[in-house]
Amino acid sequence: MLLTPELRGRLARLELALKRRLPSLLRGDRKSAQRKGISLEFSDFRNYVLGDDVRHLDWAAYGRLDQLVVKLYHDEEDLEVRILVDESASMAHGDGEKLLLARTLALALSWVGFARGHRVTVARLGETPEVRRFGRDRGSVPSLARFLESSMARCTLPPSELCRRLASKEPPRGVIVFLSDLLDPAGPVEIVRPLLRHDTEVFVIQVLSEEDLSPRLEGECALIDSENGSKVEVFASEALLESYRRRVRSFVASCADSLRRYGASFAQVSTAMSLEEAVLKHLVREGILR
Amino acid sequence: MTSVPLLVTFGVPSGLFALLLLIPIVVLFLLKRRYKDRTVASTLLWQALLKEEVSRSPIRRPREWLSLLLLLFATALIAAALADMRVGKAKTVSQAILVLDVSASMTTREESKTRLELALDGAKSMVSSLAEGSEVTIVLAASPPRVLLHPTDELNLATSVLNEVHPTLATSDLLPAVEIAASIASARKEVQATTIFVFSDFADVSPTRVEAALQDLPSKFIICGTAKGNVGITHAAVANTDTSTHLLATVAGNAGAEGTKRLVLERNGVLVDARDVDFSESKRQSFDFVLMPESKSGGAEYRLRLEPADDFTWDDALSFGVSPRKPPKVLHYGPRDPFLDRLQQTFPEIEMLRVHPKDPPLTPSESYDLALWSADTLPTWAADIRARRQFLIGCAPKEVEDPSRDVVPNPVVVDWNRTDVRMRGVGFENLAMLEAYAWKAPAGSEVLLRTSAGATLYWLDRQDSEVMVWAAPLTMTNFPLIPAFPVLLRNLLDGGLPGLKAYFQSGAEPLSFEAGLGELTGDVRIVIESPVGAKHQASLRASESCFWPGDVEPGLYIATSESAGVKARRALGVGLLSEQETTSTPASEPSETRSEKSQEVIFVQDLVDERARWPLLLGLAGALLLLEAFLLIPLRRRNPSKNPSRS
Repeated sequence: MLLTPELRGRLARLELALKRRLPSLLRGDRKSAQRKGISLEFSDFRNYVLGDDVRHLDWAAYGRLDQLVVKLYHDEEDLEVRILVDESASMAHGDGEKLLLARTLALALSWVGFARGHRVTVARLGETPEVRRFGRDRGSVPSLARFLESSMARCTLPPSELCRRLASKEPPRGVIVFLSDLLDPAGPVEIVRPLLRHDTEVFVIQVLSEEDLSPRLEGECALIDSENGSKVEVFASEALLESYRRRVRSFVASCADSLRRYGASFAQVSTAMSLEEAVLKHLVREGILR
Repeated sequence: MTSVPLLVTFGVPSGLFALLLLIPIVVLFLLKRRYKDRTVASTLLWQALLKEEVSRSPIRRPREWLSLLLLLFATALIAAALADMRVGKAKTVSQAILVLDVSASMTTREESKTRLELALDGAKSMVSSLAEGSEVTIVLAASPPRVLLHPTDELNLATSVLNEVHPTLATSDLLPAVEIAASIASARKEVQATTIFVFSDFADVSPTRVEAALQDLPSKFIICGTAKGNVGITHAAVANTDTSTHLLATVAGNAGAEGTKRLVLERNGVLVDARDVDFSESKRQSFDFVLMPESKSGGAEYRLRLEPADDFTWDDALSFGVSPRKPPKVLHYGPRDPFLDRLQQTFPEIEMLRVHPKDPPLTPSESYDLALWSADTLPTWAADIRARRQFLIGCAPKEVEDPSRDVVPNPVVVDWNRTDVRMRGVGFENLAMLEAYAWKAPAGSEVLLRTSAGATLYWLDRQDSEVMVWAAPLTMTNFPLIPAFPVLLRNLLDGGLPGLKAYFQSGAEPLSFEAGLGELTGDVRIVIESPVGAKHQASLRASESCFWPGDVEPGLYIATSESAGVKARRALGVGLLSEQETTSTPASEPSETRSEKSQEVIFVQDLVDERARWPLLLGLAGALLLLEAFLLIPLRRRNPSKNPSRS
């Protein structure tokens, strides 16, 4: 997974299309006129925490106090952008093109966050959620990529359970970008319910493959669910396939509708799209980025 | 007759083992994964979709069970076809009397079976369809007709008896057999539902005539044969002239005979003569073959046959053996007469035994070809003499009631029979008589010469001999002087003295051999071998007759006789030689009878409506398999715009 320099440049000009103000704990590049934050005008000191921009360390204070502190300037909100990648079996099905796209999108969105000075945290939602904070360091993109690629697990738990486990391990806050196919009998709202809090803004990007959208089946097939192993026997007539395609479109529309009703932003991308098309055009068009 | 639903029989029951295939078919169907497994990301949407689809189209899943049912039915039909399933309407009959025509024409081949085989198949089907407790009687329309199986309720026995029925060389005479069947039916009137089944080709007698013999008895006529052209050898005779021996044969055909054939004569398996037979103008033609002379020590076996043979082969060939004629044995009883001396001079081959009335009585020890009695009265031992023919010259036969010696002086010839075969070459134009006896010819005699004295020369047919009577003293006529006398004697000795004797007969006659074959004397052991290799042997006196037991078949019967180390052999040909059987044509169309009659005429194939169903079964099985395949075809329509998906 690589982001070309050109793409990085274009991504740096984008930002997540937040709809509301979120309480922030740490500084970020997002300026707020209402709260204290970092600006050219010194405001205060506070102890350094991991992830803070080291450029704001007060070395004089360190020499005096033998303690790392950062200077606070104008009130600036610093957002934590959490990018969650669903690594359930449905995402990894086949040659894993959905998972690949999700990870690539995660990488791209991380770069967007880095470009805006947000703290980026990436979580792989598998049997055991794995969370890693990459702060605001753009230089951590390679390690972030390696982190995303390192998982080979094909979790058989549904996305709803994965989100629940993550929420129980680490309460969600800030901006959450959830990359998943949302193929869970529980439904999209129940999947993201653990993520929907007063202090979160959730962006749901549904990643579907071409096979999900328009399966290439013929004859009599016994379809086996990659996550739960359930079997459905179908006779793949053209009429049935057309019905299925309508069904998928209806499903996507219902996901969008229900999630937006709960305040989440929604977009659906397909593995047929290139990364540039998905991020620079589609997500912008769908209101995830601007 | 009451009818019951279907009667299903199987010609080859072992074919039903194919039903065992049903088990693996069902097992494979259940085990076989007819659906291709495909792992997909999620079946979430498919499940929701199928719920909607099933609610709209509930009849989807049963398709595969329908396919299994079609396959099972097709397999069952194929098994039934292999088992030669036959379906017919069984009829319950209390008493069935089967009349089987076993005449020679029933050996005519109809495609793969003979008419008799078709009749027996029909009869067995009839018996197998009888309800338990029914009685069966079998009457053979043979010559003579006979009851082969008296009324019995053992149907298995009836089937066994039918398996032993063979055709005969007899001509067909259904009427006596039908009358026997009718009498049995009438005698057992207390048994209800008696039906007479007549299995015949009705070649010589139409169903109409048979039904008249049955009066109002319930019956069914089963025609076992189709109208076919037939040509056969109907007559044969061997005649010896002074210089040669001739085989005279007649070939005739029935109404359907047409085209040309060849009549071939073979001697000891070698072709010696052949004639073309053309039926374009005449349905009866005669041919004259000259037979080769044979040495005294040997003989030959001839075969006269038509080629190509037709479906009725029993009249297409005639075999016979020939051997040189033996010198006739003549017995003369009477005073010496120069005219009879001349006879011996004329025919030196004759072995003549002369007995004078004053000689001691002759003890009859052998048979003679001709016995000449020229004394005034016959000796007492005359009746013991075995002679094939006798010529009484001037002495009255025993049949003459009043053999008075009233003589008629100077009788004149009134007339004589110029056409009789025994008078061949005999002319009485110059006959002069001084006296003739006024005997009254016995009843039944055949007058050959009539003079003003009455029947002067006449013929008597006795059971054991043929007798010619000359009712005039031998010396009172110039009879011995005119050429008529030796010619008449020659005729009495069956034509020319040299020549060949042929041994053949019609199959209608009893087959027998003189135990000594005319060559041996004393106690002999004779063995007769049939054309198919069956043998019969007996120990008899040489003069006794050995009869062939059982039915006679066309062909050459070889008799070998041995006595005291001396052997004799004779080949006797048996042929059909029946113009009736050869020229008859079977009834071609069944005809409905009048409504008040209970007879019905059908073809044997329609008996009991039992038909082989295997063509229909295989056709149905094929249709079911096609339908099953057709069910699958719409399931496999491809979407040409997409590549086949990966699993």
